[in-house]
Amino acid sequence: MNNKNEKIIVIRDLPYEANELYRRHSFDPKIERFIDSFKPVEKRNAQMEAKINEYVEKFKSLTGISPNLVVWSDGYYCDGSKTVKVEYKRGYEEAAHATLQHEDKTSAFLDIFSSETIEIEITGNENFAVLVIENGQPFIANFHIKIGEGASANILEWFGSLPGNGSLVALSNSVDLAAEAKCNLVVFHNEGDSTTVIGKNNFLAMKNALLKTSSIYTGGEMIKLTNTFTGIGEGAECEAVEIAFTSNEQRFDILSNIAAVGRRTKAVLESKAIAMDNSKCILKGFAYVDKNAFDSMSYVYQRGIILNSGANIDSLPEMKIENRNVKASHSSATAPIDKNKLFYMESRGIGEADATKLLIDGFLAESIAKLGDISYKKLALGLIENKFLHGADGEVASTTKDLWLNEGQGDARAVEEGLDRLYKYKR
Amino acid sequence: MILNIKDLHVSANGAEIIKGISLEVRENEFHVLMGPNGTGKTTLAEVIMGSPKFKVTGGDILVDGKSILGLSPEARAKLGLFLQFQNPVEIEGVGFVNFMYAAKKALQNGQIDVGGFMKEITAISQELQIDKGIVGRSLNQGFSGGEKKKSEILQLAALKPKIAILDEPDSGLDVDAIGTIAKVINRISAENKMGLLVITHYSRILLHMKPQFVHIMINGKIVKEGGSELIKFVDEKGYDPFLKNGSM
Repeated sequence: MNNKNEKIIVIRDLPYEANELYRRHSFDPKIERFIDSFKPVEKRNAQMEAKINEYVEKFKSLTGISPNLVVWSDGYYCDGSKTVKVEYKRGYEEAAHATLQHEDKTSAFLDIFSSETIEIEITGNENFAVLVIENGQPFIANFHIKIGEGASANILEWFGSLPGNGSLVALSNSVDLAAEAKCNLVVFHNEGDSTTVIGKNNFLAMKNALLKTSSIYTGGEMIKLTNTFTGIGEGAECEAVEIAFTSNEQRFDILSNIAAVGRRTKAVLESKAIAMDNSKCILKGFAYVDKNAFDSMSYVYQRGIILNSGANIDSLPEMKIENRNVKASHSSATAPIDKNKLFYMESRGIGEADATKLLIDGFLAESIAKLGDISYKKLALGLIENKFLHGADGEVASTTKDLWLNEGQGDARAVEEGLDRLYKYKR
Repeated sequence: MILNIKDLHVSANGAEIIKGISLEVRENEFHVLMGPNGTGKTTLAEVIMGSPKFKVTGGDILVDGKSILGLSPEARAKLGLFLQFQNPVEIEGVGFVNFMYAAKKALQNGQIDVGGFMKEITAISQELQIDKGIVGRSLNQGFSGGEKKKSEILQLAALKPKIAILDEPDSGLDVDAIGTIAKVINRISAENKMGLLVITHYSRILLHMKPQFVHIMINGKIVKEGGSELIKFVDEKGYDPFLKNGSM
């Protein structure tokens, strides 16, 4: 696949990022505060490696998932079972400073470092799990995942943090699906509450390729991401599910573009957001239908629930359609939690905090069902539970929650604290 | 358990809906509240359960002599009150069984025999002739009117309150379904010595039940009280005599 493909360049030049509405609803991650911290690693840090290993072991024991690749600021390691080629350079301090002069610092920053890539090539039917662990030192996680013709990949990307002061994770994810390839990519962003995440993710699907992505955003102090899903080849399908849950002072700004370029392509974006405390979540969904995308289908669907008056969700759907022979629609709705539903549940003896939790679980149920692997579903449910109890802590959530008959988890005190947090929202 | 409503006045959006109602319901008693549309019956039911939509402007609601006006709906349910909603909300993604499990667990302070609970749900579902699919679906979502009523009665049977307020358990049901529901209500109320306050416009469901006390509510007030003879009166003459003559 050729990233210099002319059509791809056309998509990059689309005006949506310059749209006044989108620009107005945007956060500046102020990445300059991290730039001076980018330092090449002079020697191995055994103490840090021990902490990383401890995190990985905890992840394995709680999720039952063994990562194939672990990446952190000082380095990476892979289990050798998969095709992973790494070109990972250091010494980019000067270039980092140069990006500050650019208007769109995030894009410039990532573009400059786009040559530093961890390449993952999947040619058969494979599972692949990547852990990216932020450890108090700014770094760039730049992946290029290639899924070969007819291959099938089930990929997990987990972004977490070690305890302590957070830093910057700059993410650049590029996933290319060759003809007839299939990919289910599940991404969890559960960084610590003082971590900033910036990034661009690009997904390309060639002829009859099937791409399903699910992104669960729960962690980080600020997340600013642009995702672009493009169905290039005839019959390609891209289905992107996003779940964003903000709390405390978190700021999420996620722009997702779905582009139908080839004939009979299908592109679906389903975004759901929940906001509590004083957090703010901006979900921008843009569907582009190319003039050549005959008989294509494009849908942008956004829903949000605001749990208290200090929180805010902006959902901004938009479409640009250049072909009349297509099906396309968008919808967006955000509202406070439904008091009639809360009253109904409470009238059955269910406390307000538990009722809220049940409603949130219900709101997300359909999206979580799309995660595919049961261990991913449990992980997502555990994170949602954890979010109520602790906010964003970067940790791997306990995943003992069953799909139903949850017997509770964590120690009693943690549960009590979590309920106290929610009781702030009593009517 | 004694539910005592004393000279209750209730407003919503500045308009007084309940204009001084007094009513007492005890465990093992069967009361019927009848009245035309828009007279405030559903408002009364929801206020008893603690709906935040309404404002109590006067009077009191007591359970065993203690005011419950300051209690949350959850706390009222834990005292033993239950409201069968006339139009229960649809809740996406929350499975019926999950919801029932959460409710039962909450009412029993976390102590629950899961196997026994599931058996009970299954048995009551069969008794109510509920389609098996309903218990596997999201709560009330896509249920027909009849299925919603049956779902509410299933909850009543499983949660076993001390006093239940049933808000039009018969509306939207066909003749056979009314008989089925009435039979289940009769059984569980008798077995559990449950107090019942049934709200209805029509007498059809009451053909299958034996209420002890009948209250006629007109324009936010109870204007007539008596026994089952009042049901026959309403059936024959409607509410016009009460509307024309006030308290008659």
